[in-house]
Amino acid sequence: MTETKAVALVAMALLVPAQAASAQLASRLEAGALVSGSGSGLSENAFAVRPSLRFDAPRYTLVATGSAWHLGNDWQLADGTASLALSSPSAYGLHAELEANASRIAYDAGLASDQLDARASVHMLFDQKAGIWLGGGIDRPVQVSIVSAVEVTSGGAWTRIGEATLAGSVTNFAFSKAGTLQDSSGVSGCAVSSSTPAQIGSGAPPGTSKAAPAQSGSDCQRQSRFSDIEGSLEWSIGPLEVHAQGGYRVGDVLNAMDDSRRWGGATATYWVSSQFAAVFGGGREPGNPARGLPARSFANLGVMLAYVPIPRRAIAVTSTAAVTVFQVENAGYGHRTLILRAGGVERVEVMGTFTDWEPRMLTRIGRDRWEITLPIDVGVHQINVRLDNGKWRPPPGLPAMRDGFNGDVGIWVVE
Amino acid sequence: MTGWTPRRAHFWRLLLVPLLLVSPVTAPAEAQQPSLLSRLDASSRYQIEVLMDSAARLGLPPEALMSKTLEGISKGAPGSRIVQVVRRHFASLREARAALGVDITLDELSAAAGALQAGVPRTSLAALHTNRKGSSILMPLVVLSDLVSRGVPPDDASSAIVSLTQRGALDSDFAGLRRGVETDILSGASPVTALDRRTREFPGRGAPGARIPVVPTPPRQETPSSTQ
Repeated sequence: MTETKAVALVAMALLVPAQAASAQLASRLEAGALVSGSGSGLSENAFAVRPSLRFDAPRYTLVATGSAWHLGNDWQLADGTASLALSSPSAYGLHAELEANASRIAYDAGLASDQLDARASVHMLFDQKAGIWLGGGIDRPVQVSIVSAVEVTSGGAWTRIGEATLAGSVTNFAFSKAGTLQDSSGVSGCAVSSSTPAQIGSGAPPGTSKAAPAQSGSDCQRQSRFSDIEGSLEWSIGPLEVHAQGGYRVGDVLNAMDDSRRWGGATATYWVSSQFAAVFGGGREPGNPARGLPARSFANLGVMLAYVPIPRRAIAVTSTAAVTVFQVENAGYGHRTLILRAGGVERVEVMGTFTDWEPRMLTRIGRDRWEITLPIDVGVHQINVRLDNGKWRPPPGLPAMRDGFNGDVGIWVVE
Repeated sequence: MTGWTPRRAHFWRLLLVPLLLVSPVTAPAEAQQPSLLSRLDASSRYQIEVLMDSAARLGLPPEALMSKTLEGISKGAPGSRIVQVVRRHFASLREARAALGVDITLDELSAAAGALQAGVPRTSLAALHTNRKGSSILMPLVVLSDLVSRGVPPDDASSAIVSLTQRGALDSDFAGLRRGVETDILSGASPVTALDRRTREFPGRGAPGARIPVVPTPPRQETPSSTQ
């Protein structure tokens, strides 16, 4: 089977919402353009197809992604990643996460870079509206002889303001690599081989290092260090979700080249139905000196098929599911639409005096928006909601009173 | 079969098919409550029905007791507990009616019953009713119950709400008070401190609607139902 056929088959398989698929599966297929700077060693323009598959469970997540580029007249497998993330139960607002990744980047058959990553982080939540995290880990390149393990430390904070989530983080990367004649750290006389493996991991774009006779990398190493300061915004407006991010890299010129100093991008996801979304976006991403990836501009357009539950957000916003927003819209003819926001759950129910206390299941619209339209009279109603068959609770923002059954009930005045 | 012609069969088909189609749509609306009540054991169901009859005879809304019963069933409470809660609700409705009279809506009556069950003194209900003569006491009652459920002692909550009605507070003021207290409690303030702070912030709306309550708030030691 040719690579072209393999790519086509994978793409088709992901687009078909297979009935046998697990209810906890989500797939995504994007196609777009990659534009790299000249002299990067990569094709300057490529058409890329990027399928991904994700399996979410309450305490762990499995992700597999890949991409294929169309260069000239041929398809070429470009990279693949497999990830496992584990999340601990929450206690006193604290929980821990562990993540492991294995990835391969292949520009062609003879030029590949593998890497194993392991990260750990501790998260603290403040009333589900804000949080901070601290973490660290090791990225271990394989088959890239000139780069040592990369030590990664990171920290950040996030807060939710209305429908928007703002986050900021600082990630520090430190690793050893072979010195070059341009080394700013004072090491001189060392040079890397001009062979292709050296190019892929040199940090500087391939072709820019001045070749010299090969020398043992271990004899001539220097510490590289740089930090990425990033900010991001996630904003949900009805079925539209917008994710925007930008960053600035701090480091010496070898690690933070001019074209990787600043970057930014945005992706919009529009949920056509509860399980189908259109994804489009574009921007610029920085280079990766540890793996020799140059800075690139990108534009993508794709679709996302989501089975229950839809993947959680990139930021670990919540560990304990909760309804964050309760809204009511008049649907006319004595009907009202109840809208709740609750992320990371599979089932949301509401009941009250207006349903004769019969639980009614809400329908998910988008990632965390749940809706139901019911006939509800003007007057005072009592109301409860529950997530994933948990405890019945009053919706946020409503007055509440004891229900007599070891719980509270919301009091809702409908005007 | 004698006389069973295709024509007659067609007639019965025409009659029965619409009946079959309509019956699942119309039946549940009437059969819903009996089917839910049937989830109660026979003894509990009998006691609930007796309470509902008593309520109807006293002019209290039996549907309020039915609603509380259904709530308990849906929340998985055992039958004995449901009977206990419904009985207490019945007593609260009766007491609220006695305190407020018949000149109130069913919503106000239910809210008053809820406040009484939360531990609010009966005299406070009467004071609220007197202070807001002509306007609904629904929102003050709702906020009062909410404050108590958030940990404010019933007497403190009652005093504050009665005091605000004396100062001419509007429904929007009560809603704002509730949000403010909620915010303060989430920020770490004690419920009493939060209520005290937010009540002091209320500037008052002048004399026009304000007057001294006819029924004063009782001293704390006279309210055995309060949770100290």
